[in-house]
Amino acid sequence: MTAGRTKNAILYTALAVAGLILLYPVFFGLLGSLSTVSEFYKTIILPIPHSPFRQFVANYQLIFKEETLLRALGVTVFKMAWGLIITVPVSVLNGFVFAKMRFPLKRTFFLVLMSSMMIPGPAMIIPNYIWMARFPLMGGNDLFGSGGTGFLNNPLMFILTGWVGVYNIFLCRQCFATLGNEMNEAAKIDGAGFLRTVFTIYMPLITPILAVMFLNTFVGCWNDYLGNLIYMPDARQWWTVGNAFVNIMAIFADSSGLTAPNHPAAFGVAFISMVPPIVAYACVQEQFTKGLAMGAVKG
Amino acid sequence: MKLQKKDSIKALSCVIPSTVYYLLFTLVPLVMLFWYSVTNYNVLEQTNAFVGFQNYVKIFTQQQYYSSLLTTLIIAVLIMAFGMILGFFLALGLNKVLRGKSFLRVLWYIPALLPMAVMSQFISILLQPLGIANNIVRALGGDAVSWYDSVFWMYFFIVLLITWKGLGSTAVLFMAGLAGVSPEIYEAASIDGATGWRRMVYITLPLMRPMIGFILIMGFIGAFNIFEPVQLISRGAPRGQTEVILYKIYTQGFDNFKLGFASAISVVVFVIVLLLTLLNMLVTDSNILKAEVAGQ
Repeated sequence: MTAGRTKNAILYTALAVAGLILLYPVFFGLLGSLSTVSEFYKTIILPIPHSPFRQFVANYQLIFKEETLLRALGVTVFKMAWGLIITVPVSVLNGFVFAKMRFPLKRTFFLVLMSSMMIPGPAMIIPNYIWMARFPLMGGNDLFGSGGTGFLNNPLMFILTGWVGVYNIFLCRQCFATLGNEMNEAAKIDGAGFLRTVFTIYMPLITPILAVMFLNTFVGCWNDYLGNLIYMPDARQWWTVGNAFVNIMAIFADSSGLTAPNHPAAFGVAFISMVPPIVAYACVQEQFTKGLAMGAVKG
Repeated sequence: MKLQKKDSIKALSCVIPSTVYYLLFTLVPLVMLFWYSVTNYNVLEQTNAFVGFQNYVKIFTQQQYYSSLLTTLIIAVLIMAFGMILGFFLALGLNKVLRGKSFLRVLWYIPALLPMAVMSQFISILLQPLGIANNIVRALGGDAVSWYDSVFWMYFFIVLLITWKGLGSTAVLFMAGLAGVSPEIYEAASIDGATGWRRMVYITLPLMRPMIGFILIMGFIGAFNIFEPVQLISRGAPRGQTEVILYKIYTQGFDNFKLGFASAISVVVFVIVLLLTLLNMLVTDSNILKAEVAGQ
């Protein structure tokens, strides 16, 4: 018994240490941002700050003076909130309908939606771009999509596109399908309406899937980079934080400009970019893991 | 009966709008993809004429284009080799831990959530002349390396970054696979005297074969999504030898404005990834689904 426990302790420690090594960039970013420039240049494995508190104030003050960063944070929060407000009800409602209701052509609708999940994402970047640029009646386009710039550089794109996520509908359907019908019947007898049944009785039962949707939306929005480059090429004011972090890091580390490069500030930016995803994950971790177990693992 | 009809109306009023909306943003670009791949659509030169299969001929006859497919393949093989071996042992280890599993799992999954673009820029800054990557080389007694001139180092950092990011998810999948191997089989095996290494080779690995196939194919599909590390670390250096296919699509389409030609490359990617997806559906039999459900 004790041998087993010792073995477990050794294994646990080994995995924990290896896991911490995996988080090397997080520690590097933190320690780097607490260093002075000259301390940073002496770094071999990790930067060693001597006056961490003073540098903390100095470096992060410098970072948060960057207006593009603050603006990008605002845009990102808005995009995330809007994404959740739209996708969660749409997915829950459609998932419920496919799992619990009978209607004509159900199989056809489901197959049409699901088959689109097989369309490879990277192959669709170019045609999606063309479609957004040529979207009828948007951004000065005529009915046939010429004359203007469509959704490009247009924040209306955040608001009007991406409402229906097939993968999320699929997850909700799978989860609802495992639940019984009794609640539906009971709710009907009690006189609860359709929407009320879905959102107040059934939705709370699939919190693991909601956690998966939340984290996917959060991380997807926070980490987006290519999307900004493609759809907002001339509207940097609408870029989310992914691109803002990368660009500000480049500015701080630039050695060709008039000001000397400030690597500690650059890595402070990197550290800032890592904190919110970790915090968001830690908050929903338990439910998220359950969600993965329910088959969300393929995301 | 009347109730049934009312239900149908409610259901259809949910499903029809979402299906129409979704198809609007899926079907139209899908048609555009194939149409523009046989044109010379170029926003800058304002050309948009039918050119037949000229774009495809170019992709498969000019070395700079088909080699980017090859680069993607090489990177995929490297990532899979490292990722699967490490992920498998990690899953074995995590499976054996009795208490505090969830903390370890959180720890190991974190890289999957961090922004790829920032991490790429992170490495890129360390490799700059003023960056400190060369400090380690000097501390070990070597001469400063010019990272961007070395195919090895460019591949090294790209593969390192992607493997690091994917490790957690690979381990989660392997753990689901391991959980799918029923304890009775192990008991039977131990009665027959199979332990340790033999048990691994003759029982665990064969039973995990569908899951291994699944992870392998997902890894190859993932390689077609690689963009940020190439865009921000190597920019294809040295001499275009690290240009992966998505980077090629991006540079052709958005730097050179050749949207028609970029569509043709996209169609090639479309076909390859679709074939891989279909293959995946073949190898993913019900065993995996069962394993996933039993995973926790």
